[in-house]
Amino acid sequence: MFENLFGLIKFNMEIIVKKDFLRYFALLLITISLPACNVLNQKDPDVIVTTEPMLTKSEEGEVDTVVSADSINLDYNEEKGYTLGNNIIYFDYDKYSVEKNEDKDIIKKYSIYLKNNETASIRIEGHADERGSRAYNLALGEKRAETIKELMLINGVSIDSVEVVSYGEENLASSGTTEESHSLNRRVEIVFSNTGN
Amino acid sequence: MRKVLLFLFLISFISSAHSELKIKIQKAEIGALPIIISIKGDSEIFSSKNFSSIIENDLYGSGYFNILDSSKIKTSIKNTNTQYALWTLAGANFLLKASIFKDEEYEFIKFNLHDVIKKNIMFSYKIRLSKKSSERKVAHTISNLIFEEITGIKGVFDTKIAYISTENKENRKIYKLHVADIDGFNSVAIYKSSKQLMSPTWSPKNDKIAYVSFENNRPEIFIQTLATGERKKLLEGNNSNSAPAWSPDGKFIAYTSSVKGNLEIFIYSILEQKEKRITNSIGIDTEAEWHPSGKKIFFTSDRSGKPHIYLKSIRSGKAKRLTFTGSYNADTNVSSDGKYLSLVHNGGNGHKIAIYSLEDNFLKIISSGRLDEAPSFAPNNKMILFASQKFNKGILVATSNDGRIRKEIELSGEDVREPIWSH
Repeated sequence: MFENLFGLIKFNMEIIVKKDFLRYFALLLITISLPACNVLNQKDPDVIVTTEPMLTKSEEGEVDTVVSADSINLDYNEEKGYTLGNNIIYFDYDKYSVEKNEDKDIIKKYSIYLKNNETASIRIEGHADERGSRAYNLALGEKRAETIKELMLINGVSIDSVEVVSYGEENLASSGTTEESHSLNRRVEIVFSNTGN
Repeated sequence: MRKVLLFLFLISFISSAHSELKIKIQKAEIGALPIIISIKGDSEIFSSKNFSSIIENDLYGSGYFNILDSSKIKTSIKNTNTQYALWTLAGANFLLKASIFKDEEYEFIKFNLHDVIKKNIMFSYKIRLSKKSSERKVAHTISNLIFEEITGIKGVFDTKIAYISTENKENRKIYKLHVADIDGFNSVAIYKSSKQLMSPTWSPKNDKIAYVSFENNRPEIFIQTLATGERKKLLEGNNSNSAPAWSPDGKFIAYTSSVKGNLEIFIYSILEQKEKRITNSIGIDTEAEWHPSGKKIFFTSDRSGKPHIYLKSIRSGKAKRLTFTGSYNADTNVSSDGKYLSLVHNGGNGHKIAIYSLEDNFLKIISSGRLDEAPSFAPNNKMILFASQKFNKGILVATSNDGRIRKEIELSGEDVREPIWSH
């Protein structure tokens, strides 16, 4: 009886340890990737609050890229509305992972901005190229947008300031049928619903 | 007032003229059966010419029949041997002899189908005619009877299709959800929107259509009753949901929605107004399609890295992967006998329609486009309807499941897409 109880406790402990391990492992990864980040919110290890420059993880032989809070400025143009400079992230065919440092920098820029402007909110719009089924492409666009959202949440952005929507293959950026056109269509666009100003 | 009425009349005339579906038969069955349709007699309301042309169009369009000119054929010769000899000489294997007549009260169409080679009558019927509006329906019923009697295959001439069209008006796109007879007539836009419409699907009784509308700036599922035009949002709240599929008993709708960044399949009980999650995997699970038993669901998942078709019980258990060939298999539709899947397949040469046999796990490509999508089986499982592109314009294609018969369906001035055949 007691043995069973202990077994159960031990089992639960293991789950807790496993969960915590994953959590701290994720934190560790983020911490490694942010060596200059010196202000950590100790209460909730999932949330990293910083006003210092954020560094992206450096690949071997690559120079670290720096996203500093000072470099984040609201741009306005008629076509795109308000952006923080580049607001489009492109994807490989049938893929939704973010690999390039420049794309990670876009995510970081928006993350920092949203954390510093609590009333600001964004809409992450996912798109796919025209090939394949429309319903699958709608899901693919949503998955791409959700991926960006998840990365922002890891960066400490509040879930309430991010909305995700997919248009699938409906709103093409380029109407051609070449691979170049397709690659311009496989994208996520970040749009301000409220700039917080 | 009169001006307004005239204006309205013009508008309705123009819009109905616009939404006419044009059907072009490209390939017909080799060895199509020669048949003569001979209908005599007219009444005040009904014309034998209309009946003839509807039935001829149905049978020719099926690809199984070759229509011979009936105008020079005598059908009133008393001597049966002479009569059959004359018809044989005209090259006919079959002949429909029909007449429209009126007794004291009602109008009727009476018809006999003759087997010219065997020299006998295969069937005779009499149908009472009521309203002019029922003319096409009665003619399609006659086509079904002829088709079933001769080929042994269930006729689908009285079935319908639903599809989405888009039209560019002053730099704005107008989306329309249409319902039309399978021969392209009676095309009606049952819903119009300036926001995207997609994924129409028929209820099992063909009385309602579920579809996705972006009217609230996100994909949401709506159900529209055809008889009343009444529309209802399926799920409360502000979540995106898509890819609706009606269960065979009409009590549930399967759909896709995201959970913690992953797209999962749910089923919603219309009676209990409750949803239940069916899949749980990292990545994309979407495009649910019910197995005819109502106990399992086919769906598209990229859990193996690329989109493939899976099958899973709605109660529990692991999903079973079905497709292994090609780099892309998605948007599956199952035949009513549960033996075949039609799907979008890419084997390295563009997105084409393929049929997958669930019995021997064999996949066969049946279309030749590069951007073919949205396949659905005819209720008799003999034809497949899908969307294709022609000179950058969206068209619909109906093809026999061996690919030998092919029909193109175009809507003048509009792009058409996402067709789905009624049950």
